[in-house]
Amino acid sequence: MSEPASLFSVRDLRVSFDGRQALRIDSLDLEEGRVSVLAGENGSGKTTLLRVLNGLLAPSAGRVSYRGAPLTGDGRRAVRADSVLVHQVPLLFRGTVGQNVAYGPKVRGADRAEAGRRVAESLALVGMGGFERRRASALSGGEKQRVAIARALAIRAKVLLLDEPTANIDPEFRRSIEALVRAAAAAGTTVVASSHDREFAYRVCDRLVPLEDGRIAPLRENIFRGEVARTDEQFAYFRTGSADLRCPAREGDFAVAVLPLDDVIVSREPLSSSARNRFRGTVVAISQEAGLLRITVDCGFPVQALITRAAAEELDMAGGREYCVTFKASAVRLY
Amino acid sequence: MPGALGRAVQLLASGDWEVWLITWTSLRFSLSSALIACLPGIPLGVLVALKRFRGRRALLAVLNSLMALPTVVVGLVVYSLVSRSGPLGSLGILFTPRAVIVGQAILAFPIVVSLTASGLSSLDPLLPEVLTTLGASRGGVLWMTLREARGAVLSASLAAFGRVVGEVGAAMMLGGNIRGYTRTITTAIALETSKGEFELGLALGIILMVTSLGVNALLHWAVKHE
Repeated sequence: MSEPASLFSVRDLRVSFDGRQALRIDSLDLEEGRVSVLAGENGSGKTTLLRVLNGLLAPSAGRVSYRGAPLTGDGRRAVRADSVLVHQVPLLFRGTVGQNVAYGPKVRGADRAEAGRRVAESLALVGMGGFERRRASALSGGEKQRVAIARALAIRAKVLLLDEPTANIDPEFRRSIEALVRAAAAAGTTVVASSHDREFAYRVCDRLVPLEDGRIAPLRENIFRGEVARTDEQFAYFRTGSADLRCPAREGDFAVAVLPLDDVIVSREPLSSSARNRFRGTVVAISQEAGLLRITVDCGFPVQALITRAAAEELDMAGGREYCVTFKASAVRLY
Repeated sequence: MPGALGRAVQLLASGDWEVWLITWTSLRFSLSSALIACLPGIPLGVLVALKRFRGRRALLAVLNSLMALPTVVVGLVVYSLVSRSGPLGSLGILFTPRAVIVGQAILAFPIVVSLTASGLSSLDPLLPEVLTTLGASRGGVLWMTLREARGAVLSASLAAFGRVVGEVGAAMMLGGNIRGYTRTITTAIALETSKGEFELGLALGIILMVTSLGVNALLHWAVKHE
């Protein structure tokens, strides 16, 4: 598999408001055609980063480029043409839902018939087909948010920037937002979303980018895609790659299993223990991280673990060697 | 002034041409000056409302106090500019409709800018950004902002019109109250009353009241339907 091309590239980015630093990102690349989710608390800089990527906010310092062109120059025109941002708090214009959704296509040159088609199609995607003639001001908060998303979809942008797309959405429609994000990505659209809705973030993302206080934090979790293959009285068996992970038995339609790096034990010999997940694999990558080593073991699916230097020495850690990976079923969370 | 009110109503009912000529002159001056003030005033109000720049608060404060500009002072200043010996004397517009319209436009301008700006402050500050990300040009942002705030813009325009239609200072000093030419409702009332002839004054007063109240009713309607 070839590496996806980097669409946005951020270097030494600094954004300050009234002297307070809101964003400080040394290096970040976002790949084309994938769903990247910026995860973090309120005030962690997610919205600010999305605004910078859309060319709506000029950084205080640093370089941001889109398809290699800096956003201070030609890149900004390109990014404005190719992308659209959906704000967290939906702001609809006066008039009908249909007029709102048609606005983007119209100002971007679609004729009336084409705009009409896109309105119908986009509203159907967010579960609001037939709402064209309703007054925008009469909608509920969740409906407004879905219309705002439809308004962006109608543009058929190459890049969708979504700020907390599920924040105001009723639970019954979260899955439809998730489905449309995945569908957009499957059709080649690049999606960058921010979310502190963990379930949405895990399920929708190809890549999770944790933000803390305006900085990118290392991801301290394994995120496995797959599905529950079967369930018995004690465990749900989550199939990812060629392996079945034992997880706490839970009913639900799960798509992601999350395993914190700290809960993974790496050993040379199989451990006799209470932990129900034991795999054997080859170390394929070792990298340094804040005094620790991040080890990737290929067990038919890639498992990452954080170990200390002392542990690495004792294990005689080196790439290409075989090790055992052990973790408890209860350490795995399903989403 | 016994019976004057009755005679005034009679005068109105009889369709006296002078009453209606004066009314028409007044409306023409006020509508023209309000329109002239609105053309630069509304976009400027939008800019002041949306842009964050140095001295913005000070500008708003100045505009706010200029809303209370005394009409006779405006009359005096414009008079001194356009009188024969003034720097713009060669234009020869003193005691013509143009001079009145210029004076009244000056009175209307700060009202339009200030009320447009404060009316727009109730708009969501994210509006320009939402429009921009959807693909609007700068002009598109301005246009949609005006559309979104049309109630506020309409009330700013009506307030400006209400101000100039009822003012007497600038109209008197710059127009000279020339019969059939620059005589407006307010200057006519002042003259007729000083001559002790109440019926024409009262008749015109009734028209002015109806106009002002009508504008006020429209203002309320515009604000309610915002």
